[in-house]
Amino acid sequence: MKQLLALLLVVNLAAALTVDEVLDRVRAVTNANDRQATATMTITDKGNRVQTRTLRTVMKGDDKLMMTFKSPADLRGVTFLTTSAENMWIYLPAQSRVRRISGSAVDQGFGGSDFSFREISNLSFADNSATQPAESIDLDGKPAWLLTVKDKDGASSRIWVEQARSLPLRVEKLGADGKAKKRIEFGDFVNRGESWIPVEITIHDLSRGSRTEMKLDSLKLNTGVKDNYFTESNMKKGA
Amino acid sequence: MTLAATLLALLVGTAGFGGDVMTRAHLRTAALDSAALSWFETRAKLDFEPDLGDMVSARLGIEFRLDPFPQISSVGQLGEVARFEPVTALLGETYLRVHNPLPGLTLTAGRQLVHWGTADAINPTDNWNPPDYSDPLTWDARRPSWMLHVDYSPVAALGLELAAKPLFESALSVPDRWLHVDYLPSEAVLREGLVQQFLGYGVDSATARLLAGTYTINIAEDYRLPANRLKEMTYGGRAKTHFSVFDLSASMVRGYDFLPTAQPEIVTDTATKTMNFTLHEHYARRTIIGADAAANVAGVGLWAEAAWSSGDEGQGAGDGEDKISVIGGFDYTLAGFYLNAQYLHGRFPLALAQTSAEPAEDFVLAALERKFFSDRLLLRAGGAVDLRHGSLAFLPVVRWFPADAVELDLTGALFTGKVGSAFAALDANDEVCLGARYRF
Repeated sequence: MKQLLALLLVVNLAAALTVDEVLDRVRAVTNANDRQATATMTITDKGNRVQTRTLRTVMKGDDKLMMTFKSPADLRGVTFLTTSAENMWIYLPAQSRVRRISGSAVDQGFGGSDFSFREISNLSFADNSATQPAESIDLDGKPAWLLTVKDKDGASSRIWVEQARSLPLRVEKLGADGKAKKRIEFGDFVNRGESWIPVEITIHDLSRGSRTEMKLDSLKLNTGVKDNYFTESNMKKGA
Repeated sequence: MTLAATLLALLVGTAGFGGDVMTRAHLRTAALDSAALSWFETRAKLDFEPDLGDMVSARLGIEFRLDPFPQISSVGQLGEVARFEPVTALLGETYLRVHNPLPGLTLTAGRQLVHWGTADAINPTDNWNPPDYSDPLTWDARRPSWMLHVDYSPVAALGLELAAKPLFESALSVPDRWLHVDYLPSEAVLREGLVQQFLGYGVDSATARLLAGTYTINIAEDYRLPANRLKEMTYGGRAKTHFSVFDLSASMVRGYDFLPTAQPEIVTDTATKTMNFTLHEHYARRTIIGADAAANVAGVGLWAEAAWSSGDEGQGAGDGEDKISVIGGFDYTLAGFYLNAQYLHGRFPLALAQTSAEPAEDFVLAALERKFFSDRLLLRAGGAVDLRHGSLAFLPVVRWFPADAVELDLTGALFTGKVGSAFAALDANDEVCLGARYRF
């Protein structure tokens, strides 16, 4: 009886939440002041050709991110820096130059993967919002919220959030026709202090038939990374 | 050789190790029956980066260039192996870098590349590393220079750079085999000049030729590199910032042109019947003030870069003239097509062989590219148009990536334009090029 009451309470609370309130919960449980990790990207194209990339990533808050490719050889040392949705740069070691990534290029593949520059820099849903009530659904036998959101550029996404821990499970990026173009799945969450971090993220490009799995390793949280770490000068050193 | 091999093995064993090997052959296609290889090189770059911890990094770069054209001019040289496949060893980037001795400060000493400017490929504000025109298709390549470089970002939105280069290094020129330029006049040309001079004095043609024939003609070249005195070194600084969606920087460099200014001197002595021709060549010292900006506006990448340079007076004719170079452009991606276009007011590297009295200084550079088959195939159509004379350089590329770190290239180089235009000197240099690159 108590369990039933608790379940009813959860359902009532869930029904009462708006999309923004759910997103706030997601940000609260997945947030960290800063995080550092080694990432392995495995890209599988439509013809099942597999390519692997390794990277070092340093992130602060929702918007500051530096990622440096360690392999393969043709990408080694290439460093991506973003300090906001509008400000992204790439360091090309062969030319010893830093280039601003132009507006339209932010939707191009990051290092040949299915993640665009925009997606890799906004895995924390920083600029997603909506005020309508969150829809409560069942996802693989677990209660979940289904959120339909828009980012500041007007692009729509659907986000599935596990209700018990407020963890994001799946995101679908929608095209202008309302059909899903890309699907991102978050898995294997590890708990560090008050933060839950997904160490496996898989993105499927549904139109190209390809997918990219990103696994994080050597994860460190809250090491005191300073704001002026995210500079052009440090891009040459790499993350 | 054993020592070199041991050293190489030690470096590979103890350091981060990477590099690339590229090879490319140019087939000049002026006519099918006379088609010939005009450029064929294999280049191997090796970079060693020992792990010295978080505060210090270092690099030792070595580049080998193999020219497969035998340099043999007599039977007696057939025993000289080095003439069969001449190999040149060059020192690449070789430096020691200290990170964050103060927060946000990076110090680099050694042979390095420093890049300034936001424009694509041609940067009027970038005056540190000498251009390397030795590969005709990569005219934006640069050689590293011995420098001290300081980069300081006290806060994320502000960066300051200071650099000093004690040694002057000239641009590396296009190989003579690919483009032959007569820098000095021949004796016949100078003697014909004497004939014209005598005709001007009212002497008849036969007598003028007879008189000119009696003259001894001496041809000399007076080539001067800048002195490597401390007060004549290259130095400069740059401040950069970004706010909103804009990157801005302003810079100053006190340095030299990378290509020499030529000034002919002719002294005719009627008493001794000698004509002395001397071509004085020197590198003009300049002060270059520059600024650049880049931005994102409505999904379009925009950039502009300008440099005003003032040559020191008293070095030679024309050196004191002020020059302005400006480049502005945009790039945009739509439906998978990447478009990049720029307007340049200034000199374009592939047009440096132009001999016209009115050098081309206004160009449009543009490229359109698209990737196919999961980014395994790149098609690119690019080129430059000399707006003043209407001549054109067209450089299409087909690049295939059969595996990670492997590229296979099929490139074209087509030049057209009337006499005196920017690309007229390259009109006979239409080529098809096959290349491969492997990075490791």
